[in-house]
Amino acid sequence: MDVEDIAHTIERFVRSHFSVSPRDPRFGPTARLFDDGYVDSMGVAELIAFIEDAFGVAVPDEALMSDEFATIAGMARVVAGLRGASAARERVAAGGEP
Amino acid sequence: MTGTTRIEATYPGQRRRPVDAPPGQGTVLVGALDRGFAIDATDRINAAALAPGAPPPTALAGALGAAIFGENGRVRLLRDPLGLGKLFWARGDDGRILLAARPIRLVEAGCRFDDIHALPLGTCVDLDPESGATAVSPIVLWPDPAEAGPGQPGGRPVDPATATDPDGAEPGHPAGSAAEDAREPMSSSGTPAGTGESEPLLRSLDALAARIRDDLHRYCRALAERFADRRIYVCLSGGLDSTGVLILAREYFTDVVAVSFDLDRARRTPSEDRATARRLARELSVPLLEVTVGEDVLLEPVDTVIAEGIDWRDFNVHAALVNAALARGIAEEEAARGVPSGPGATPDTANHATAAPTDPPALVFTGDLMNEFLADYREETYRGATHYRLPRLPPGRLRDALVRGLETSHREIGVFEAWGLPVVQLYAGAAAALLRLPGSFLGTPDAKQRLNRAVHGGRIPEYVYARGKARAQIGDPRTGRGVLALCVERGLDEAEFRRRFARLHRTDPTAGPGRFIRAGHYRSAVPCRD
Repeated sequence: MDVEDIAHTIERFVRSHFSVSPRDPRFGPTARLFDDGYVDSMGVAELIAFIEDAFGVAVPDEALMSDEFATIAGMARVVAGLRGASAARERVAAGGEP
Repeated sequence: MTGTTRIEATYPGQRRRPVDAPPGQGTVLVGALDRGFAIDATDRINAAALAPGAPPPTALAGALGAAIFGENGRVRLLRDPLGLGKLFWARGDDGRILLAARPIRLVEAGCRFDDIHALPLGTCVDLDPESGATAVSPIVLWPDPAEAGPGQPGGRPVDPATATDPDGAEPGHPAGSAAEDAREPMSSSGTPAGTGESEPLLRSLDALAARIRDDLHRYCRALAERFADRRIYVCLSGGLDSTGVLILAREYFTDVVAVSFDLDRARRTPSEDRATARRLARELSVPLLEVTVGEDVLLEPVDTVIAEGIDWRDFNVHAALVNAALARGIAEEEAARGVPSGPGATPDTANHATAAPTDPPALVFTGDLMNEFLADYREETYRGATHYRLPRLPPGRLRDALVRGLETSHREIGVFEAWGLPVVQLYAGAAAALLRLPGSFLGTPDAKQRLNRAVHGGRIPEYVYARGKARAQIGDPRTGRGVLALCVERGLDEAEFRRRFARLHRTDPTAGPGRFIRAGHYRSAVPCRD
């Protein structure tokens, strides 16, 4: 699953879970989800839970507060990085190369 | 975080009060810090053990947000693992690091709101100006639940389906909630499906309750060792949590006063909370301080509670308004008995290196944290609108989210401190064990009653067990009697609170607050050299 696939998955969730209008011209991968009001303070917890369950990652606090984690595109890059790091750890644990 | 930290000799004789440190020198404390009551692995409140030069603490229980100044300019910054204690910092234009217990203090000192960070929770930071080094070490919850095995008191949660240890447990953190919730099928009511719990789960819950009880007593012993002769005010709503606190306070302290809040809305009869508090105080032979305020008096300190509670979210502001009323009532009582309170008090806690001569004359005990530990919140509907929305998550994940949000909640400690009153959140002493409660248990409708019976048994009267949820801060919005209803009627909604927060902190109301708090976390960083 590449970054684009991750972004599409997150976008589908946000559109359906937070009832984003399909005709909203401002919404997209680069929309600032929190600043623009698409996801409120309660919704953040729901979004994080979805990301952690869907992609098998734990979002660290520093990533959560980063500017990257403000848009779908940024979240996808964060998730891809976490998945890559996790895969590397698993390879090392199995005696392989990182 | 970029920028050079020029830590030079710390201003000698530094105290908790605002200081006029020479420009360009060191680390400066702006305003007073909140009093902390954390215990360490010695099961004591041990200020000396937290000072710079001593080994950094590895585990704490209780609230602590401290800045301790040592010899040769060394400074130790501490924040407890749950983030109950608050400590914020920003770098001044001259390179000094400014520290404060509230971001508004730093804004008033000239810092930009967007430049303010919280010290990360569960962190000990040692700044050494001589070597230029910054040492950062983690602090986990005490007692460390990882020391216990699966199903053991304080150990990892028991999988209700298999009675085996779920994966992914980490010391000091809600363990395995995600995996547990995934295995546990959810009924349409949001509670675990199935007709009952397994025998291993029941045995585990009894053992866990015993651990919780032991930890609460451990914490009380530590508090009594230091403050046995102090007046203890117990905020008493008449619900299970506050009654449990009162029971414990009476066992360890000799001067205990219960405090009850009620909102005067031209009602002739007292609220159910007040009536229950009166009965409890009478039966337990505890004096009761009744704090009854009118609507205007209740709402007068809105800006204060927003600034001191560091919050704009409606539930927290409503709760903070009640706490402000209680704090004012207690402060008046203290003044009446000739005891000064207020920011001038300089208690001997871990917040400064030099022990001040005066300990706090009184402490306020609260039972608030249990709502997070048990995910015991519900949404409220008033005039057709839903308030206090909760994340749509299974019980274990909901608990995790609510506990995570404790880092950014200061509706108790912050507000009472604004009236010079230190707060002990008693259930913080058993946080590690409480976080081991499995999600399947939290999802049962009578979880709080069952847990309290296991912990306190018959020491809590049956009529308290039989009560519905007592929300001292909220009242009953259905009958228009609570703080929620009052705020709605006065146009004080969350958007208004957010605007006020932004105005007080001189930031943009749209983006500023949201960049400061996200998913229950503060914008956090460690002050260090490049």
